[in-house]
Amino acid sequence: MGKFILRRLGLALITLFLLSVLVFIGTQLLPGDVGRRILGPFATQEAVDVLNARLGTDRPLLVQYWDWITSALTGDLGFSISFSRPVTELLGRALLNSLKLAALAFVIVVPLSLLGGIVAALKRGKLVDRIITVGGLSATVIPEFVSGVVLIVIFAVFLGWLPGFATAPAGSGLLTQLKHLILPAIPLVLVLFGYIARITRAGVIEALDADYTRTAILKGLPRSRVIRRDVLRNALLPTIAVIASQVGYLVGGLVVVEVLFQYQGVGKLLFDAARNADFPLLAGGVLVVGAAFQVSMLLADLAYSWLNPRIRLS
Amino acid sequence: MDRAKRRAQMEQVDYIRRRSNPVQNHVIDEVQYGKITRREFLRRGSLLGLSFPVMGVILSACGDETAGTTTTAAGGATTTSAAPGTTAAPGTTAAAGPMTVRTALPAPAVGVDPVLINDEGGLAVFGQAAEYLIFSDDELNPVPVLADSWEPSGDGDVWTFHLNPNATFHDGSPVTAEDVVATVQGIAEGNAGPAFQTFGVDPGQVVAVDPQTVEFTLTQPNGAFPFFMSSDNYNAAILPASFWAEYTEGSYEQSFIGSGPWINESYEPGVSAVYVRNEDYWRDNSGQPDRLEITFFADEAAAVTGFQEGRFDTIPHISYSGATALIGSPDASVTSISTAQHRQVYFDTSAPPFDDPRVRQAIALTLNRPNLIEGLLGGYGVVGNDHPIWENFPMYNPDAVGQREEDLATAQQLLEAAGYADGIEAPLDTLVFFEVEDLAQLIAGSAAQIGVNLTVGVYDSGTYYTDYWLAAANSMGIVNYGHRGVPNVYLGAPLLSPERTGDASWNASHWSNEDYDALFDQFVTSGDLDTQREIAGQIQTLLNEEVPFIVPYYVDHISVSSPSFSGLEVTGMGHFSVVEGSLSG
Repeated sequence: MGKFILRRLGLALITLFLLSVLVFIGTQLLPGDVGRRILGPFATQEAVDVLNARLGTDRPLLVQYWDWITSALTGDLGFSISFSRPVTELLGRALLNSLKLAALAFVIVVPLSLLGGIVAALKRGKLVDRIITVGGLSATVIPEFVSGVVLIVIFAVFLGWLPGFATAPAGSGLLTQLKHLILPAIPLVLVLFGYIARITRAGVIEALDADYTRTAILKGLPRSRVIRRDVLRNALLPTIAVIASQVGYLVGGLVVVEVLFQYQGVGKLLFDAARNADFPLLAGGVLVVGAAFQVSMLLADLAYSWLNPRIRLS
Repeated sequence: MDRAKRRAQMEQVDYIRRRSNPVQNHVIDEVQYGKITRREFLRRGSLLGLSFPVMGVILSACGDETAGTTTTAAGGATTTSAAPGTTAAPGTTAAAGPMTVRTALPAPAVGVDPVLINDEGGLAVFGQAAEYLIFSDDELNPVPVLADSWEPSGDGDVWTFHLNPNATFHDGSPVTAEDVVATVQGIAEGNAGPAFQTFGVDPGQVVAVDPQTVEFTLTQPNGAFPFFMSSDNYNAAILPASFWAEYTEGSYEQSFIGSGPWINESYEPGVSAVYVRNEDYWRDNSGQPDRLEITFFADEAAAVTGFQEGRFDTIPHISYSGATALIGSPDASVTSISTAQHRQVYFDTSAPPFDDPRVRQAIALTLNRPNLIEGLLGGYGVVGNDHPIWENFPMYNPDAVGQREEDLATAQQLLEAAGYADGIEAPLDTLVFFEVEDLAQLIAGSAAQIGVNLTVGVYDSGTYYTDYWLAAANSMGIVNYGHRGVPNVYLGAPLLSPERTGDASWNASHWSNEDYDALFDQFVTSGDLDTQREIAGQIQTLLNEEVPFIVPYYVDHISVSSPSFSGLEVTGMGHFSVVEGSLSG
């Protein structure tokens, strides 16, 4: 197990290194001049040149990369151009916000989709199964910005039940913050429900058809006990791994939802950084999102290998 | 009026005249002989440092017993002017208990930093806690704030500002001349840099004469200089010398220090800013709301949705397309002020095909400006005439040149005469900014009617300003110029010969004209309005004929408030104040 973790960590580090190179090159390819971005369109070129020299953006790319990556390794991701703040401070706050939204989405979607998948499997081929699978699939393919806009128009504008802004006023308590996060969490639930429910359904069906299930039933054990102790324990194995792999998406991939609901999570921060050509923030943010994906995948692998001895041993 | 009273008034005027310099006496002459209106006298007089009581005496002597602060807004509506931060009677009864005003602003593009801010979100946030020497209001008046009074030397090349002795910063320290000097020198290298050249300011020649007096010696006379130290130059809010001594990029957000009526309680970049009332404000702010909550938006649609769901009391600035969802709604009060903000559709005049004025005139003649205003701005604008002297500027000369209107036949003839009967292919580059992208498409459509095929390129702001704006590429382009209280900035860097302005040039047309350069010098150094108007007329005519750029229209500033909120003050530049705000119901 230790060897397995070490190998996965090693691969994660290599991936992150490659990502850092790609991110750095990508941000350098963006059009525009850092000094000009900071000082604005009407500053003199002389002032822009002085600032570029001071920031070191006029140095060779390799030197800039080396400085950036060595600083990043010590936890210093530089200074945001657009917000005039350390990147780590901005990312830390945004990461916390993203985690809050992700946690709420998880709390809603995990039990809901597990239940949906199990019910669909147990009612295989019946109307309930069709409703859950087709409905779930339909919800999954609706883009977040479509469901989000519909939700805002109905629940925030017309009915006025829930706020359309995900950011609660400064100093709000936990309940108020939760209230603000309900609407943005729903599109995420819709996207993930169909996926997780289908995986769960497939796992449960496979377990229901397995020899050990038939044996347990033939032994005379009650059906509910067989489902709880034999079917679900085996069926949820791939589902748990799939759920864990969504952490990365929920932490760093919610650009559309966060922008639509004006929520300062990592996704919106990256959007702002890209829009303002804020190179340090964009590079640092992508690196953090990459790390989140890596951690998420590692967690998924660990969960799967812990639950499945065959994987662990190989 | 009895003779004794009349004599007493004239003695007062004589006394004022003896204490006034030649430039101030000239404007007194102008009103006494009926050459300028009373409203214009109030504006010009305050610009030249005459106080309102003094101007009231002069106007009384001229037969006006009602001289006060009631004036006619630049846009035509009659309003009552009051300096921001003072407590004029609010329009509605304030609700009982603590009052919080909630508003939405575009997120500042850069940090809130006096040197770096260059957009509306930034200046609007900056202007809550910090104050200027002078506030340039929506009626083009320079309203005293930290400066009690100011006056030019006889030649207009030395300007002296007298600070209000009661003014203090949030930490209780007085606002002194040293703070003004430190501020001017602090912002010199940033976004405000080129404005120093336009107004003839050498940061080294700004001197603190005594703690309450600061003197600017300009490199050339400038009759509109107070606007340089007003909110028009939005970087120039006065901050303590101690702040400047330790200034680094981003350091302002650690303190948000200023002398204004609001004290920053919290600021989260891209999310929100919260202010509380400055209980020790140096002016009377007893009617001020207790809190101001600003929510930033990246997408205007989100702000509109927030307004519809009742999250905001007011949105100080919104585009016409954003306002369409609210216009006519009983839950929204949509108001607008006329501004000098305009789009410049420039030609690269340094090379064919746009080096020929006939080609430029031809394209300008293809535009149906009223239709553009109606279609793109919903009528919230006024037509331009291919020069940047807005019709509400007092020096605008209405008799100089007729309004250019759509005339396709003449346009076609001009194009043929210039040797382009077979048409022209050229790029039209612009940036993502309000309706500008649509404007580019409509211009391309109009020009196509005479065989000019423009390929529209739309870029983000950073790319556009870095790679396209000043590039000479046989092209056309569109750029935005925000509102100013005087046209000096529009007439300077964007139009003066590039070889003259050098590094500080904003001349996207690469247009060079010695006659224009000479007219500009005469314009900025002239002290009296008659002369300025005469020169402005020549400038209007010259630019209309030469067309280095088209000015299709001037854009109104639209605001929206809930019916229960009143007291929003805005400027065309983007400043806003809710110090006099009140909520009812």
